[in-house]
Amino acid sequence: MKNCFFTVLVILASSIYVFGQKTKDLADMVYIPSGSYLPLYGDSTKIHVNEFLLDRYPVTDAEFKTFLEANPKWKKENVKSIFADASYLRKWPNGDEPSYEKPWDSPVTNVSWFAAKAYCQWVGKRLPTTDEWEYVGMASENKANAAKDEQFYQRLIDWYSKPNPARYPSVKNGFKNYYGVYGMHGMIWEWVYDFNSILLAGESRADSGGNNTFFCAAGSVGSQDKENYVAFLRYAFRSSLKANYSVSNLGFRCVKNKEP
Amino acid sequence: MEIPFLNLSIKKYNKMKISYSILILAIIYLTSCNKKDQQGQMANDDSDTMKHAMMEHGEMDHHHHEGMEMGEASGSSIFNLSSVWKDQNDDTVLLSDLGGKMSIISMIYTHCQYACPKIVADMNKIKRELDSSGVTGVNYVLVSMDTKRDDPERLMEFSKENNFDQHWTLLTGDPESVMEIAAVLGVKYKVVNEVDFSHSNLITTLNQKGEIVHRQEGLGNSPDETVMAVMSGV
Repeated sequence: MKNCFFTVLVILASSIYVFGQKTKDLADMVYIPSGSYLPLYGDSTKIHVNEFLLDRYPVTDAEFKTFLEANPKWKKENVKSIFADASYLRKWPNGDEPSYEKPWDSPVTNVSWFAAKAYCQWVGKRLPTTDEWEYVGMASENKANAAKDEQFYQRLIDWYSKPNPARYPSVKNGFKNYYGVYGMHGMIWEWVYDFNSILLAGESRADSGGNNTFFCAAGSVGSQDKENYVAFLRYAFRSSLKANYSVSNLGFRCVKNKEP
Repeated sequence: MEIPFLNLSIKKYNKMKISYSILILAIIYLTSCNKKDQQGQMANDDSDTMKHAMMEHGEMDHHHHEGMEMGEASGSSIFNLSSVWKDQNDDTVLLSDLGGKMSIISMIYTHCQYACPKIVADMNKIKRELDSSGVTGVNYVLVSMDTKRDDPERLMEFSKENNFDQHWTLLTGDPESVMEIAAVLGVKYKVVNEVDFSHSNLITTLNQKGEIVHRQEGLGNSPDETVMAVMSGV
C-alpha cells in the first residue's frame, strides 16, 4: 500500500509538471483563422487552410534542451543516424547545451525532421504543413496577405540575401507579422511536416529526359507567380532536404489543431 | 464532492478541469493498485507522451514473427522505425520482421494506373534474375501510400491479380507511418485530391540489417545494378 501511495504522488507530481509545460506552450500560440491562399506550385486554384494554432516563436535552444533531458534517445550521443545525421546539434559543444550564455532563446537549428517532429509530438503538437506555413508566411507586419506588396517583397529579398549569423538573435527580436507571429521571415528556414511532397525536377533547359520517369502523376505545373523568387527559394530548399538532415539555418516551430 | 474552488472564472475552468481529471485518475489507480502491476512496458521504451505511445503501439499481437532476433538495430537501419503495419494476410508486421534477408522495397498504391505497374514489373525483372541465379531468399516488399483504400483485403486482391508468391509482402499502415517510411527511404509523395498521389519512383535494396545499400530510381531501368547489390550482399 505504501508503495502505491508513493507512486500516486509521483504520478500527480509529474502530471502537474507536464500539464504546466503544456499550458506554458499553449500560452505562446497564436490563433490563425481559416482562409485560402494561392500556392506557388499548382493550378490557379486557391487552397483552403483550416484555422489552427501556431507557435508564436520558433522553438528555442532552451526548449529543445528540456526535450533532450526528458528524451535521452534524442541526445546527440544516442540518436540513430537514420533519424539525425552527423551535423545534428553541431553548434552545441558535446551536444549537451548551447555554447552561448543564458538565456538560450535563439531558435534551435541543426535538428532533423525526425527530431523536430518528435519535439512537437512531445509537447502535444505537430509540425505545420507546407500550406499552413505558406499561408501565414504571406503576412507582412500589417497585412494578412502581402503577396502583392512590392515593398514587403523587396525586404524579403534583402533578408534572404543576408548571410547566416554564427549565432541567431533571440526569437523575440524577429520580424513580427500581422498575426503577431515572430520570425517567419528573416530568421531561419523552418521544417514542415510534408517537406517531401514537393516533386521538383530539374529545369528543362539543361536536363535531357530521364527525369520524366522519376515522378508519377505529378503532371507539370508551372509556378503561379514567376516573380516570387523568395517562394522559389523556400520550395527548392525544402525539396532538397532529407528527413535526417540537420542544417545550421534550419529550425522549426509547431502547430496545434484548434479544438472546436 | 463539494469543492470550494468551483466559483473560479471561466479562464481557470479548463485548468481545474484537467487537474481534477488527473486527481480522479490517480485515485482510480490507487484503488486498483493492489492488483498485480499491469504490463505498462511498451516495446520501445521511450518517455514520449502517453497518447503518442498508445498510437504507435496499439496492436502488439505479434503471433507471426519472421526475421532474425534484432537486439539493437544499427544506426542507419530502417528497422529503427517502430511503426506497426498490416500485410495482405491481415497479419501485424514490424519492419524488423524483414530482417535476416535482403529486401527489395518500393512504395506504390494499388489504384495507380501508370507508374506503379511499371515499378512492379521492374521488381519482377529483378526477382526473375535473382531466382534464376538461385538467390531466392529475398523479401519483395510493397508499401502502400493509400491509407484510405489499400486495406489488407485490397492488398490480397492486388496480390492475386499480380500472382505474387510467398516472397512478396504488401504493407499498409497509418498516415504517420507511411510518412516516416517515405522520409527514410527518400520517396517523395503528395496526396492529390485525397485519393490520387504524385510520387517518385524508387526501388530500394536493404541488406539483412535493414540498411539501404542501393537505390534504383525511375522506371524501366535495367535490373543489373540492383541484382549485383543483392548478390554481393547475400
